[in-house]
Amino acid sequence: MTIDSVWERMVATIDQLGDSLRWRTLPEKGVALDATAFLDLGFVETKNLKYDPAAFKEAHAAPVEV
Amino acid sequence: MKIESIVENVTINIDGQDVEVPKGINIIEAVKMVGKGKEVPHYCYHPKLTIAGNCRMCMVEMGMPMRDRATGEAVLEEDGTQKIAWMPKPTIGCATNASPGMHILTGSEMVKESRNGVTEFLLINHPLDCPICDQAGECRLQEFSAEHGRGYSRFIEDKNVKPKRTRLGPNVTLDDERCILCSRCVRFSKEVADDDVLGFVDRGTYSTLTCFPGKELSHNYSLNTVDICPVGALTSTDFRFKMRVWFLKRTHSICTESSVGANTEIWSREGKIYRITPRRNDEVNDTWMTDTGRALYKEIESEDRLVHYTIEGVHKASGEAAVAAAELLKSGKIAMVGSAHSSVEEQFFYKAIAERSGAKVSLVSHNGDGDGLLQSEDRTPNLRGALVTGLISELPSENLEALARDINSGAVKTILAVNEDLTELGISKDVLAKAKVIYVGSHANRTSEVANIVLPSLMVFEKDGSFINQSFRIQRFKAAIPGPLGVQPDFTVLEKIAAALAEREGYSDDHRLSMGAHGSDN
Amino acid sequence: MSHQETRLIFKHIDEEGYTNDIDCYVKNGGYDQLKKAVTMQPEDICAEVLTSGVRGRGGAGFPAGMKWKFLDRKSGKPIYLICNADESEPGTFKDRQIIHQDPHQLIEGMICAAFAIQAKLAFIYVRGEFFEGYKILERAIEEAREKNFLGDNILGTGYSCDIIVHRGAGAYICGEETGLIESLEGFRANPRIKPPYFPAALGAYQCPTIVNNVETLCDVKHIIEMGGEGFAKIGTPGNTGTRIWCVSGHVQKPGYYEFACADITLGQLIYDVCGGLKPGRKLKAVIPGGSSSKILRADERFTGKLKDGTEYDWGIEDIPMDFDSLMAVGSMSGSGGVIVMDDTTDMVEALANINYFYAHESCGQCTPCREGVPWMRKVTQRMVDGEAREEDADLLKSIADQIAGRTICAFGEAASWPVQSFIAKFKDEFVEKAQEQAARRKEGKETAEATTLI
Repeated sequence: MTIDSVWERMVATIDQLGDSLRWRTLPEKGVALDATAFLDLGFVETKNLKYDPAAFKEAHAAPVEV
Repeated sequence: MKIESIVENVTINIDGQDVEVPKGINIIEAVKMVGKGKEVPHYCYHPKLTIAGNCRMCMVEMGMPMRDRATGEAVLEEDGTQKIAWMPKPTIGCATNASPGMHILTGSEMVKESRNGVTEFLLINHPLDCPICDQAGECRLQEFSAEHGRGYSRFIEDKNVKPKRTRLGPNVTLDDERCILCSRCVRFSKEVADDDVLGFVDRGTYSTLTCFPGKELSHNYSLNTVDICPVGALTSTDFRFKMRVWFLKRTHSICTESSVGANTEIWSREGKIYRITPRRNDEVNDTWMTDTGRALYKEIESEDRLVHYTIEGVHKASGEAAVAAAELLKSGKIAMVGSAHSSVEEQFFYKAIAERSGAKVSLVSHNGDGDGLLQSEDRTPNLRGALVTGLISELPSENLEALARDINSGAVKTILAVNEDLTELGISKDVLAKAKVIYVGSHANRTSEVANIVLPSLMVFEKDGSFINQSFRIQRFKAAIPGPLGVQPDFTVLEKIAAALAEREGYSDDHRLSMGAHGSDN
Repeated sequence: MSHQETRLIFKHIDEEGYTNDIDCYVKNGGYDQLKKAVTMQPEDICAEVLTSGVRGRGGAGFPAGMKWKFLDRKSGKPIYLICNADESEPGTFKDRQIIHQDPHQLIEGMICAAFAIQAKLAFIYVRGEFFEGYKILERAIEEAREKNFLGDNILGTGYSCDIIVHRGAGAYICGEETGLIESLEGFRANPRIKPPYFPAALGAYQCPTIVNNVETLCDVKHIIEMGGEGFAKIGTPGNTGTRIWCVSGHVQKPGYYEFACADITLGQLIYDVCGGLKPGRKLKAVIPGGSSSKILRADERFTGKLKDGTEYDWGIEDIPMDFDSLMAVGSMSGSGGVIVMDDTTDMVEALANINYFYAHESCGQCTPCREGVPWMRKVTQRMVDGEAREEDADLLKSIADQIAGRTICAFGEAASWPVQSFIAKFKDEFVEKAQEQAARRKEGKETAEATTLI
C-alpha cells in the first residue's frame, strides 16, 4: 500500500478532491477545496492572519469561477 | 473560486530590457519577478514588513523619461528615442516603486561601487566569527561579502565591542556584535506579533539592539525574529551551536499545532530533527509560524512513545495486530473515537472501518484561545479532513459522556480510540474496563495502558500525508525522518483492517463499491 | 573702509534698551505685519513669499515659497508648521540670538506663515540645550496669546492657531527635518526615507507639514512688510534678502554680522568687518557655511561661469557672500557659519575635530553613515595620536566617497564633504604628518604631541 494507491481510491470516492488531484503532484502551497457543503457548520475559529470566517463563508456561498 | 484582483501592469526597463510588472511593485520584487534568477541584494527589506530603507544594500540607478518642464512633451535623444533623466545618486530599490517608463540599472559601476561600500562598512565592526556562528551557511552577510566584498580589509582600527550573549527571551539569544541593525526584528515584533518590545539604544555606531526595560521577547512568535535576522545576531537558544545548517536535510511539512496549517520546513540529519522553520505561503502563514509549533518535534523522542504492536500486552507483528483488531471490530456494538490529528489518508480508512464495522463515530474537540495570528482556536490540524472524508458530518463534541452511557447500557462493547485518552473525556477507568479497547496512537496514555490491542502510529514528521486546514486548503507533508523501528505507516495497517472487515459476512456489496473499484491492492 | 550692515532680522539684536517682552516689541511696530497679514488672502501671502525668492536659511538654501507650494492640500488632513530651532551646526549661532533677544519677531513670522499655509497647529522644535531660550519662548507665546495674536480666533479673523514649544532631546540629527518630525512625535530622531516621507505630504503625524528655519520664518514677517518684490530688491536675483554671517575662528572680532546677500565679499568680511587676523598670522583656509560645508583654501583661484553665464575669476577674498557664489566655488553658504583658520592651524587636527563631531552625532540608522563616519573618526584620531600612515589620506577620501549620496538623509554629505575637501586641498599635510611621525619614530622620539580635541 503506497500513498499513491490510497489517493487513487480517495479521488474515486471524495467529491471535493475532484479527478485530477494526486498527493505526489499536489502544489507546494496546497489547493483550496470546495467547502460549500460545510459552510453551515459553526466552526470555532475566529479571524486570524489569513482566515476570516465571515469573508470565507461569503466567498464560498457564491462561488465564481475565474 | 475567487476573482483575482485585476492588477494594472506597467512597462519598466531593467538593465536595458523592457519588462511588464505590476504597477507600484518595488524594484527588489520586480527584479525577482522578471530577472531570471537575478537578485537585488538586500538586508533590511522583507516582503512582509514595512520598508525601512536603512541597510542601503539594494541601491540601483534609476531614471525616468525626460519631459520638457514647460510643455510636458517628451524630450528625445538625437536618434529619436526617449531621453532618460538619470538620478545623480543611486536610489534604494526597496522604496522605489515601478512607474511607467522607469529605467533601472542593477549592475552599473555606481551600483556595484555602492554595494561594495556598504559591504565593507558592514564588515569593519563585524566580529567575523563565522566559524562559530550558527548563521554560517545561510547568512546574507556571508553570501554578499563573497559577492561584493573586497577580500581583504582596509580597517586597521579597533572594532567596536558589544554584548555577545544577551538573553532576549525564553527562546532567543542575541549576539549584538553580529547585528547589522536592519531592524527587521523590531518591525516584526511591532507590526506582526503586535508586541513592541525590541528597540535600539545608544546612538550611531554604538547602536545596540535590546528589549525595552522590564520587557522580554517572550511572545509566541519570537523565533521568527531569528528566521528573518539576515545575520547571526538573533539565534535560537534551542538550536544554538547544535548543528551546521549545511548538513541538514530540508523536508516540507505542515504544522499540526492548530487548524491554521502553517507551512513548515523540517531540518534533519541522520534521522534526527534539529529545527523547524516556517515556509512561505501567502495564503496561509506568510513567512511565519509559532514558537510552540516549532517545539512539537521534541515529542518524537519522548519516553512514552508507543513503539510496539501489542495484543493484551504482548508484542506482535503489525499484521497480526491488524487481524486481531479486525476480528474484534467484527463483533458488533462498536464505537470509534476518531481524531482530527489523523491525516486525510488515515481518516479515509477510519471512515471505511467505521462503515464496515457499523461503528458510531465521535470526535472530541480540542479548543483553546486563538491568538488572532497563526494559532487558531481549533488545536487540531485536520478537522476539515474528517468532514471531507465523511468520517464525521458534525462538529466534534466536548467530551464522551454519551459514549460512557452507551458502554454502561451495553450498547457499546468495543471501542477503537485514536490518539485520545478516553479517561480524560468523561469515561472513567471503571467504565472503560467494561469494553474492549483498540488504541491507535503515537504516545502512551491511560487508555493505551488498558487497551486490548495497541497499534502504534507515526508522528507527522515520520510519514507522508495531507491535512485540510481551516480554509479547506489541502496541504501535503512528507516524511522527514524514519519512524521507530518496525512501526508501519498508519494507513498501511488501517487498510489491512478495512480489507479484513470487507470480507465480513453480511457486509453489503454497495458498501464495498463505495470503497472504490480497486479493493485491497496488496 | 567700513561696511554698513543691513540689519533686517537682527535690527534690534544687542540694541541698548531693547527687551524681549511683548511691550517693547509692539512699541517698535511689532505685530503690525500680522495685523496686515490676516487681512490678506492666505494664497496671496504664499505668492508674495514665492516672489520674494527667499531661500531657506537652515542650510540647504531651498526656496521657501517653492517648499510651501509642494504642500499636499488635497489630502484633507490638517497642515502643520514647524519651526526648526535646533540650531546645532558647528560654527552657527544666529537663531539663538533671535530666540533670546527678539522672540516675538519669530512668533509673528510664524503666525504669518501659519496663516499663509493655513496650518492647524505650529511647533517650535527648540534645541534641548537652549534652556533659557525655551523659557523665553514659552513666556513670549503666553504674552502673544494674551493679546490674541495667537490662539483661538486670532484678532477676530476666525483663524485659530497655537504654537507648541517642544524641547529637543539633544542631538544634531534632530535638526534634519524628518528626524526632527520623528523626534517631535516622540521617537528616536531617525530621519525618514524620502520617498515616500516628504514632509510636505507625509510629515508630522503623517500629515502635510512645513519645516522652516528660525531665520526663514522671521523673513516672512519682513516679506509681508515690504512685499515680495520689495524683499527681492535686497541682495541679487536668486540671492534675496540678508544673511547673518556667524564668524568664528582666528579673527580679531568674531561675531554675527548681517549683510544683504552679495553685499560683501569673504575678504571684506574677514579683514574689514571682523578686524582681520591676529598680528603676524596669515589666512590659511575658510569653512564658509558651517562645519559640513567644503573648506576653501586661502591660495586657491576660483574660476568658472555663474548660473547667469558671467565668468568669474576669484581669489578667496573676492568671493561674494551669497548662496550661488559660494556654491559656484564648490562650497555652500549653509547655515552661515564662517569658520576662519590661520596658518597656525593643523589641518589634520581640524579634520579630526570635525570627524569627532559627526561620528558622535550619526544617528546610526543607515549603514554608510553609521559605520563610515566613525571609521573616518578613528583614522584621524589615530593620525593625531601619532600613528599616521601616508596612505591614510587616500583611505579617508575613499571612505567619504562611499558615504556621500548613499545615505537616508543629508548627514552623509555633511560628514563626507569636510573629509573630501580637506583631502582634496590639504592632502600634502596629511602625508607630511605621517612622514614627520615616521622620522620622529626613527629618532626614538614620541611621535605625537599631546593634542586636545574638543
